[in-house]
Amino acid sequence: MMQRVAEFVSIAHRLIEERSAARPIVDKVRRNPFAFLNRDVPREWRTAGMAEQLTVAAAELLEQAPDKSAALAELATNVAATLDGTYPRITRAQIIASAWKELANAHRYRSDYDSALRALDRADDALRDEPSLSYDTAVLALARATTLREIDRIPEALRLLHFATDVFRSHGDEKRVAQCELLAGMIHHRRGDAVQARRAYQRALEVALAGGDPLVAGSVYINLGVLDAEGGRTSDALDSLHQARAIFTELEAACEIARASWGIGLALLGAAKHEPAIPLLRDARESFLALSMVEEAGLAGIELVEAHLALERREIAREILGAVIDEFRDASLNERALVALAYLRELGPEARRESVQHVHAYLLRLRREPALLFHPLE
Amino acid sequence: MRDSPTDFTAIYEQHFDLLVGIAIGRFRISEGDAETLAHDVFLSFLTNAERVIDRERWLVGAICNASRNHLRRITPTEPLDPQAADAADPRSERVSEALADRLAARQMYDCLTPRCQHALRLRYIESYTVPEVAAALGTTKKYAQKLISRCLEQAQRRSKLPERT
Repeated sequence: MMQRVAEFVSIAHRLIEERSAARPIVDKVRRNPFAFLNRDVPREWRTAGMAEQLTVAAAELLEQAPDKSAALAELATNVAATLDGTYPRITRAQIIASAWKELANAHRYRSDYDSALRALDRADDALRDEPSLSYDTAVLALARATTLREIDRIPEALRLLHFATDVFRSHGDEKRVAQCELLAGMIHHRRGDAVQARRAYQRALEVALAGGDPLVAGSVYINLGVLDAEGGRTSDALDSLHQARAIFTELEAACEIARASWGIGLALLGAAKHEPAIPLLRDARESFLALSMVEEAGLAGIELVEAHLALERREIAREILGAVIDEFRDASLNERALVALAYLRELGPEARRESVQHVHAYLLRLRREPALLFHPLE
Repeated sequence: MRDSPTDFTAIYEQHFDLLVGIAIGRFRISEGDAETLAHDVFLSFLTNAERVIDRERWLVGAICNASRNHLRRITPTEPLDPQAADAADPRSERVSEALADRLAARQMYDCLTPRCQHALRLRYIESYTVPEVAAALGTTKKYAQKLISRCLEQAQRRSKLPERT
């Protein structure tokens, strides 16, 4: 046993030292991680602590700058691949898996689901055949379930989610359990089961507030807000969405602030309060564009078009639509989306709100069903 | 990970016997394999330590999952008897009753608070002993026993199942 204790203490000590050596380097790298891609990994970077700190930085930047987050995670995977046999097999596997998982998260934030799933495959490969890494495996399962929900692969997502929830519960990790409850709520929500969705959201909120996890609490508030807005309870929806925005503003989570503003704009739009909805949708759209989240920016743009059409400002609506088409084309997004948007533009000044809503609903479905064909309104 | 190296020695020494004991006692894993699994669990703890609130609960959860995974890996699989494909599944003999029982159990389970669900799952599905439930829930053995009894009462009270004859 003495030898094992010695190995454990020695690796613990080594990780602490490597982390503190890595921090100043990572602080520099995170300013412009792109400059370090496509280079050989410097010898002094080839430590578990360095890979870990790059992964941490990628996670921290996920909300504010998904592009930078992806670059940092990619660097982390490169560094992790250089780790030698002086680390225990378990530690190496964890570091590699964690880096790939963070890269998957960044891909998911940018709606690149295929790349996200491929990155998760790499992460899973690292943990395969390691019976003692069930917690790390559950972390990957939660990440995969989150991605699969976004592309509507619900049964697979649920199976992974149940596994992850059980593992986190058995480890007493209430924060992760709250994340699982949040995702369960989102799945029920997507399936149209508002009652189950609300229950799951409220369970997640209780745990998140008790455990001091503002990120999950904010996300729950956004989802509760959207649920209430869909149910026509605008006042409750706005309360939750403002709570969410306050939390994310405190956390300086740009991406989620934009989502909360977007939700508020949508709730107002749903209540036919077009004028106050416009600045919120515009702000959200601009934030999404700044974060390279073109799909979200496009959807917010279509909602702006709808609001302006409702106010008979057809010229402004046409300009916004043109900009959205250009953005989609520049970002090489799904060609089918361009077809739907072009249809809307061809309708010209006579475009009706119903047509705009039809295209909007199609674009939302297209994110989950990339092969879905567009059919114009009769 | 804010512990000093001395603390790491203490973490290992304080929990090693408990983890090895769980792997051997509950999962019937050989001593050598149990020690290796426990060591791997300690190593895996190092990169997750910052998130861990209740160290003992985390380590106990980890060794239980590691033991199950280990058993799955070493259990040999044999091909089915060719005649087995035509034979009726013996479980289907009482399928309607079994299904009703499962539905009733599920209905009862859904009525419970999350804490009760967790406690009963550990005790009756995962087959934890009361002291292990206590460790997993981060509480005393006495309270764990009390909680399990209270949760069973809650299940009876809340389920409102029609009586079956």
